[in-house]
Amino acid sequence: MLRARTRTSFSSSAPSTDALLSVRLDVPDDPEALYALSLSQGWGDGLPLLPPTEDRVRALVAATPYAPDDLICVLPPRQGDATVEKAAVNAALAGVEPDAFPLVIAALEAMTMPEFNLMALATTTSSVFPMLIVNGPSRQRLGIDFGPGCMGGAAGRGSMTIGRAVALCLRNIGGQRVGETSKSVFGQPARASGFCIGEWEEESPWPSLAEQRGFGAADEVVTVHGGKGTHPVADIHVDDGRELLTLVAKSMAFPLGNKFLTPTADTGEVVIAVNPVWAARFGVVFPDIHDVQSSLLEEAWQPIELWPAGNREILERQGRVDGRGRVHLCARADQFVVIVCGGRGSLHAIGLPSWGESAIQSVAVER
Amino acid sequence: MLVEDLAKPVVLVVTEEFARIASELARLRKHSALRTLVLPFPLEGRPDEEVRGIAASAYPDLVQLLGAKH
Repeated sequence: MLRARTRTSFSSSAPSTDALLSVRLDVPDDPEALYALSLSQGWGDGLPLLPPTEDRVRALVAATPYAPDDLICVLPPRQGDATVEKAAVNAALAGVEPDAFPLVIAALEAMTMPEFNLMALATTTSSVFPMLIVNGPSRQRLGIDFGPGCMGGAAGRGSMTIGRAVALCLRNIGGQRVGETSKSVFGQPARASGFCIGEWEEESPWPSLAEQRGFGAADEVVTVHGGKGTHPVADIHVDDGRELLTLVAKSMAFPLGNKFLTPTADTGEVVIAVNPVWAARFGVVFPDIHDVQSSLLEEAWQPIELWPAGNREILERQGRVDGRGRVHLCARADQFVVIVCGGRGSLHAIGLPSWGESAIQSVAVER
Repeated sequence: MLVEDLAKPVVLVVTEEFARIASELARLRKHSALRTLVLPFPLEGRPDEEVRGIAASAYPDLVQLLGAKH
């Protein structure tokens, strides 16, 4: 639900898009001109932008049930008001199609839920960024990538533009700027291009992520995860699904992950993207997704002896070490979020490691 | 709950590397007058004794910034 809707938004007729409030700028009709202006003014992410003309912004707003001045959310760190119009301007810069704009709004709503902890994400030294996972029937229509190369290279318009629009909103409305309001040491590619993938629901032996989170199979849902990056794993030797899942669990529990830095193990989720071939293999052994998650919980740990004395002391003081000398990555099975996507080339899975102090959020798209 | 809701004196303690972002975030949140104590950077990697020395040296300034008499 939007943070605030205006009276025009609730009128019986469709909300008017006439009253756009944004400052108008005249830019020479040259593709290079807007790009140069965006760089000089600091609006851009370093990539070329499309002109957010009035017609394009109106078309985006008209694709929603909202008025231009409806407030979607307040974006940190600057606490900027993300109205539908301002989000539409950034979506236009990124090349979002009107049909896909409601997903940008859903993403902004999800990432500003208090449990997501966006202020901390936006300013931290970490590389973390809101990563979007889309479920529902519009994935194919909008070009949301969920097959081969879905995390980069597949080039679906929906994935690339929705993710980038969210990144531009954080930059231009939220004021996230490296060196000024963000202390991110390395950043990650998603901070420029965004990160937006779909789940290959049709290839999953389990309920979709959205269904697992209480939505219907026909709902369009955007889930946002505070992910530190992409952590790829691969294997060509193990045939048994149970053994393979144990290796995946161990790979997710790498000792310098943020999940071992947080005071407790019960915050943050680890998203594990499994390709359709591996998913089928896991599905034979674990027909119920809860059993997959329980197995991951059981196996994702490292022995306390792995860490040096200083780290050991802290982990012990925090109660992170169990009676068998194991430090578990997570405290609950539902902190392992398993999705199916990627190509059929097998061999690979990708973890999206958690930043730790951020809880995954999902919002249904409203049209 | 926001810290200002507690109606307690507040001093932001920050290391040199983080002084700029601290100032910028305070300004954006309309707390430009936030009292700030800047410590050397980095604190990690120093021997405990040295860190304790830095803390002891900074303590009078911290107390003063809080509005108390040392």
